[in-house]
Amino acid sequence: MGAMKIPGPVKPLSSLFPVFLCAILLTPSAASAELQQSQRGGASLQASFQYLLSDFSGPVASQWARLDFDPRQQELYTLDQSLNEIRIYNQQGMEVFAFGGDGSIVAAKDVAAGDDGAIYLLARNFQRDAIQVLNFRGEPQAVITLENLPEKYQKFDPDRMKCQGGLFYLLDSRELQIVVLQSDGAFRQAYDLTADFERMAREQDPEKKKTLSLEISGFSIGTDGSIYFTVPTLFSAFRLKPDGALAAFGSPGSGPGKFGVVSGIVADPQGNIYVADRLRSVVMVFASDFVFLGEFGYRGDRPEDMIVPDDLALDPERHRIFVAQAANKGVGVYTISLGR
Amino acid sequence: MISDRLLSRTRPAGRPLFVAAALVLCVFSGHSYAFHDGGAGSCNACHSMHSARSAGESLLLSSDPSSICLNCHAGPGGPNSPSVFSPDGSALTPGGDFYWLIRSFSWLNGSSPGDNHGHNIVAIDHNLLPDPQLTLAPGGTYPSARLGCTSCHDPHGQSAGGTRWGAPPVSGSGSYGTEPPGGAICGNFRLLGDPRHRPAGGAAFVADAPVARQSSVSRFAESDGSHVAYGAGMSEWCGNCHGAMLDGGHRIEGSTFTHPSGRGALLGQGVVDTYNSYLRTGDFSGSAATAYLQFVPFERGTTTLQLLDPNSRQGPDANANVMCLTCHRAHASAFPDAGRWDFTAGLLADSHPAVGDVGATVNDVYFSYYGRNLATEFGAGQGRFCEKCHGAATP
Repeated sequence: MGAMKIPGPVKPLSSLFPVFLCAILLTPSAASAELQQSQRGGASLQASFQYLLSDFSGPVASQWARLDFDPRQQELYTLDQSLNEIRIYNQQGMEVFAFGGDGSIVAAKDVAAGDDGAIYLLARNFQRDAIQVLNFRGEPQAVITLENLPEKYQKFDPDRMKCQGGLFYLLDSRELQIVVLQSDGAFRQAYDLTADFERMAREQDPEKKKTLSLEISGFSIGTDGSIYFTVPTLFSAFRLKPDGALAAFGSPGSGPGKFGVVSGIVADPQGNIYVADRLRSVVMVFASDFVFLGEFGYRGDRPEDMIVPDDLALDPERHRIFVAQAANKGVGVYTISLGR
Repeated sequence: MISDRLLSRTRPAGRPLFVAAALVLCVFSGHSYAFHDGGAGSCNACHSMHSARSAGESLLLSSDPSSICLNCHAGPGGPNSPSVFSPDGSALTPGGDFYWLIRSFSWLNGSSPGDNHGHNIVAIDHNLLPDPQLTLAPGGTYPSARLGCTSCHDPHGQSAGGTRWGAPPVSGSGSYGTEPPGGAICGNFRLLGDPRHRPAGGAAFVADAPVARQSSVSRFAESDGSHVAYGAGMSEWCGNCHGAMLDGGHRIEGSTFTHPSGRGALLGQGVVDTYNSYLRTGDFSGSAATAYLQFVPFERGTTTLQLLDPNSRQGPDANANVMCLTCHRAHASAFPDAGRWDFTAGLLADSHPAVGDVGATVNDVYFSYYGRNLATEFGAGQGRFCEKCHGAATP
């Protein structure tokens, strides 16, 4: 006589909720087919909404979170500046760890995942706290201070940071300066963009009727070391190559491919550039030669829609793009298929 | 270097009809590539003519007009950051930081709800909701559900109704005391509405925009040495919505005292002497040349912009008067009633937010008094800043 299998206790439906949620999160959303997008002739852009970054309670609310993607671990890092909290999400978009909301870390402006597995925080008080090095548990390990900065950059007070190829790229969005550091904090290179932007403003307004407030919004680093950024008041996005060549693209308008209030920007390994627009609530895609390929997004309350998109992050391996939004909507995740 | 593409990127593209329409829409702006440096900003930064769906009024792509403003005016604060809604209280502007509207604090025997920290502007995209208590403006009839940035600020920067009402064209900012070229005018201080301004849901304004001037070096910061120099008309302008609170209508809660404000509310020699000599509680050894305190501004009683120095630390004279903003911030503060200091604390060291309050961060405490450590600077026994005018005895 075989052993009789004794049925276990019936689980209440509530205990199965996490399982259902996981199943939902792991299944591409049916709503993806409704994602509004457009493309230009000769280009093929397919964007599909996947999900909002979530924990076991559902989508995690955040307002204009700072993003960084760790391709080695396939994890996304978010910084909620109002709570000073770091959250880490796995490749299914589920939160796996969070820290900082209890005051255990210094007030931070930006977060970056290092190639070495460390987590780097750009301190709000940079002069005092510099770059904080945390381990994977969020425990402080060391502090990297900026060394040998040229005299011209003494006012440098960064508010954005990226870490790539063992280098730190720091941006002072108001002084329009970018400083590149080695992993030990030693100065490597710097760019002062003030003269270029002022010249561009003069070209746009030769009679100098207005004085623009020039400020960099989006900021990212390409795989080849190119630096990408946007300046909303110039209705422009920029690519600064490692050799110092600066190129701009974009033009104001409200139609597809036009710039309203541009914000986040990222580039994939092929050099295609993704630009978020807060006003139009879209993410535009441009080829490496700045030809507009298409865009996706629609201002609305549905999960797949966008509300005031800001920072972007890219998963080049799985062709995912992460979009930080306003209205406490959190971070939307989309997959991209692009061809020409 | 910038590539040739940059040089050619502003060429007009698209249908001639659209170009013509855009020109018509921009006719009052004078130029389409600038923001609020007097006059209108770029149409495209707020309105979306070719969007598939226009969710809001006037082709605004947002939940409400204020959400549009905050597309650019939300972010970390700084001396030259135009942010008025920071993620952490760091927008230390003269008007304050709307951040405080979403910060509520509580402690053992008290609380300070966020919706009591300032003007509850409605900006749904940024989680700013209508006032849950008041339906109308105190002392007026302006509906709180319609309160937004454009209730006070004219987004098109018009002065006297703009050129369509016969006003000269606006050619520069009215916030920094600059002289306009001949045949033109500067805009109103901080784009504030004037008698031609008709905010949504409210009656047309009757009072002119105030005469005031901000430092052009630190355009969005406030300190004793860099602040707004108020000349005249601030309280009267507030009276566009809070009219019944002027002219002796502002009764202090829990008291029979009604605080005066406005042009007729001269400080008087006694208050002038107290202001100029007051350094801290019990210490009246200061001098007029360095008497200015950012937490207690006043109007100098002049309509001549050139007489206003936003970097002066000179105290008031016999022409000066008290105004609404002497005690309150126009946007929001860390304290109840948008106070420049915590009106509920007998000693400022007992102000909230404080370390240990539920809901308060270290940043909240630091930014509540604009980064100044009052206990170190003024002493643990520092009383309310009412004393700056009234000495030891407060009304």
